[in-house]
Amino acid sequence: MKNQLGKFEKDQLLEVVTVGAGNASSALSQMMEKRVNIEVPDAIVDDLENISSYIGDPDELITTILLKMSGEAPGFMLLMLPPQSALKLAGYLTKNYKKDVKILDEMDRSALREIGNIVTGNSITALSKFLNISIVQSIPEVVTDMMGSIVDSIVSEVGEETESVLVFRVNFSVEDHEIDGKLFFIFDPTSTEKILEITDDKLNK
Amino acid sequence: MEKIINISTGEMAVGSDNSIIRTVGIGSCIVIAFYDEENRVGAMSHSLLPTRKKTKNPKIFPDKTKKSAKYVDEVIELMIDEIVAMGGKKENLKAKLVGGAKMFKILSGDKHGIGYRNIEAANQKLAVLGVPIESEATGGTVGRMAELNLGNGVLNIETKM
Repeated sequence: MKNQLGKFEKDQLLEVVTVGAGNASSALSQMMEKRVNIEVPDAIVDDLENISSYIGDPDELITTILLKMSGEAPGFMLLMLPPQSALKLAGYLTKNYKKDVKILDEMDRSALREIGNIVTGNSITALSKFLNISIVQSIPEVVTDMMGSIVDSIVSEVGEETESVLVFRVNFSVEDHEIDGKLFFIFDPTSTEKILEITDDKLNK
Repeated sequence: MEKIINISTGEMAVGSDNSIIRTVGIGSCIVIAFYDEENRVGAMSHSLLPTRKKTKNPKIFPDKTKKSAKYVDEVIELMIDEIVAMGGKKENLKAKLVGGAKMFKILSGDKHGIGYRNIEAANQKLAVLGVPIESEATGGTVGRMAELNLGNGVLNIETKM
């Protein structure tokens, strides 16, 4: 993979992500019976060590729901929520609102995992239908810690094989920023090439 | 006045007296701190991976000949060279290690994760070079931040969770 995506390639990939993110947000919206807004996604290809500064402030506390994608386009999908949003989202399901992410218990984490499953599951299904490939998702895992610690741990996993990764970011909010969050898709170069190949084929038909 | 040098992932810094080297968001990465008490010179790095992998496709990812702070084995050599250039002595150096956590269970499955391998890489390289490890705050599942005071060699570690 080139270190830079062409404008055309980028648009092509963003279209794919928009499909995924659109499905994720409508799943969330149905579950909460509230309006969910998503922003236009953006994408970067960069060296592993620069990814966390693209994502945000490395020492900011953040709750992350992580899923691993395997199959024909391996990668990761992340749902990142500022602590206040994570507390609201978990409380919405458990009906037991906590005041501090440090005291989120197993019940809360399980609620967040479920949200991760629903949101990312819908988005992965949409992606694999659109691309006509099989993507298998792992069980979700919830971790709250410094953003830098979390992101570096994930990208270093990709870094075993490559120097750079492709990251998509989609910002979303539930009803007037009551809950804010970010959805990320991380693909290694092999997956990116594969996705580009498939979309190329589709366009040339 | 103390001067604060912030380093991020894949970076290193060297300094003496009155300065502090600081880094945040340490997960599976490893932070290596060196200090020469006699000459009050030290260095700290924040590395992502144990070692550089031989690229499968040299056209796409050319093998860079320059050593990089991103890799544990290379950054140790880089830091020692720079400390010596600043008037420190290799035989005075003591090392401290921070990081190498396993933040997510689903990464690497049941195998040892990158964090563990980073710790191992640092231990091996330091053993080969004969630099003693004075203290270690490694492993576990929590992210850390670290601050090395170059006036006295004290390394402060904090967590947020």
